[in-house]
Amino acid sequence: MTNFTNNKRLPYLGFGLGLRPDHYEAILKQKPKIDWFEIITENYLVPGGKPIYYLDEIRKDYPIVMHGVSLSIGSTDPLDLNYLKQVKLLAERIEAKWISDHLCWTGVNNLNMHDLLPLPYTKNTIKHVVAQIHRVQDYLGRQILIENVSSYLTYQQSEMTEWEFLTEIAEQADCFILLDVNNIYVSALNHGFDSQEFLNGVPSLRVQQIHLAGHSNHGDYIIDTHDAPVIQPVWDLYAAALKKFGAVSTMIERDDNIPELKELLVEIEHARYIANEVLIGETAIA
Amino acid sequence: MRELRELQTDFQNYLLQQNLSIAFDIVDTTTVPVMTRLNIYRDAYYLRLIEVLQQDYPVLQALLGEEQFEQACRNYIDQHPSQYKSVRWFGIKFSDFLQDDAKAPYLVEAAKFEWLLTESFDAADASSVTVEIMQTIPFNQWPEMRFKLHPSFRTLMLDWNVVSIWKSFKEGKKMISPQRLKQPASWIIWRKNHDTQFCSMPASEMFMLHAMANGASFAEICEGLYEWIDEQQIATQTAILLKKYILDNLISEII
Repeated sequence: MTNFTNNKRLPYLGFGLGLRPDHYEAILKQKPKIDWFEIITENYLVPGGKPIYYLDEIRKDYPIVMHGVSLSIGSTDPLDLNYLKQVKLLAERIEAKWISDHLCWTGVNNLNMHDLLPLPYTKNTIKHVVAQIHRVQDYLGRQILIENVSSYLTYQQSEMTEWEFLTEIAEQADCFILLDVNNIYVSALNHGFDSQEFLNGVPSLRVQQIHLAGHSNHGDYIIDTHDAPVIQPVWDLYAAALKKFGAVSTMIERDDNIPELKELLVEIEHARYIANEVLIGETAIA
Repeated sequence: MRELRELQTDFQNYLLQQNLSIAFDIVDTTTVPVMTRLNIYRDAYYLRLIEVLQQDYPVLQALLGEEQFEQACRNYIDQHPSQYKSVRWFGIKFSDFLQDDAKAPYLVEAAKFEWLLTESFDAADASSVTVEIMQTIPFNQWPEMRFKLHPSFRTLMLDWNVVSIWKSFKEGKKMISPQRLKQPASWIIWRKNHDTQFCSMPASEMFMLHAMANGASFAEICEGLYEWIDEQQIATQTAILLKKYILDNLISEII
């Protein structure tokens, strides 16, 4: 098992955006003021063509991080080494600054539900997930980031809070956390916990990246749809997160109802503005 | 890990078959009952995969109509749960499924055509042979030349006018009605400068392209083309076709 511990975060990247095909041409033409892009890993595990062409071109001007949706780190199926090999090759090709995926499972018995399914928050699950992350990190030769997912149910078996579960796994596996502030907001409403308590329970040095996104409010519950602008309570929670964690690389994640690039640039600037307000006098913000 | 394994299997069985075993493992609340919570996941499972098929098969959807397309998707999802890490491959068996489901042949052909477009779109990259490279090959070596076609090259035979239907849909015009062609037509699909192309081909050219794909030499191709081309003209005509394929970026290597 590789020992990565040096009690340091990876380099700070500033303010980024999820790279989506709708914006390829605009990015190449306009070279917008975006510090970095995050790709959905699986969308680029293809042999060639436009996705790879645009990725290579955009990589010439911007750092890239990889964000997977199918690692299925919490599944009781064995890890898919062929998939990991492809992830590693892609990371080498684009010199990915880091690789992240979700603290969830996506299927068992060799099936993929293509959804980020919740795990029971138990000591046994922690043991299982920590061992899986160790295997992944050993294979990739680097620490990964795991993201808190939005969830819509709680298992009877759960023995602890989500943030205790997340923290314990990050500490034991010596990996980083991709903190999705919108997901905290969504799950807080769906399960009736205090978002601030979540933030207070997460260790600062483990938080490497923040996701900001929109969602759909159905009254009694919220669904994490990534199809709308970030709402004010999530911006407020973001400010609270920065107060707690300091400067953390932050990005806007939009997967549906994708607007023109300029609309997302406004959200990126808003995140930058909040960070400047919160962190004034602290680490310089790019 | 038996407990987690069982829990995950039960959860998945709810998504796939609405098997209720998992319901006893979920905390009930007064505001949002267990079944509502579980159905958020089950609904999302179908909606996500239907959306993927909509993106891969827009013309098929237009031909079937929204309701019938969605039903076909739901049946496909039930019969072919994804085994792929990337959802990009989920729709790979959709045309076979439509055929097994005894759907009209033009629907099956439309699905095949749309899928091959997606395959060609992100097939492997390769360099293209240029006319200049071709001209550097001494004539005495031409008979032994063999070729590699671009990895994005695909072919299919169509009995129906699905390409015309596809074009009318993409151009935003009134969609052409399905019609059986007087005789089956061969089509090739490939990528040129990152853009997907398609073109119908006469039998002689389909023979030549298939022969090239199968590793035949230039001399063997010429010999096979006797069927369509006058013997006196064969070398010249084959060279003209070869130049055309090179200009279209269909040839990635001359061996």
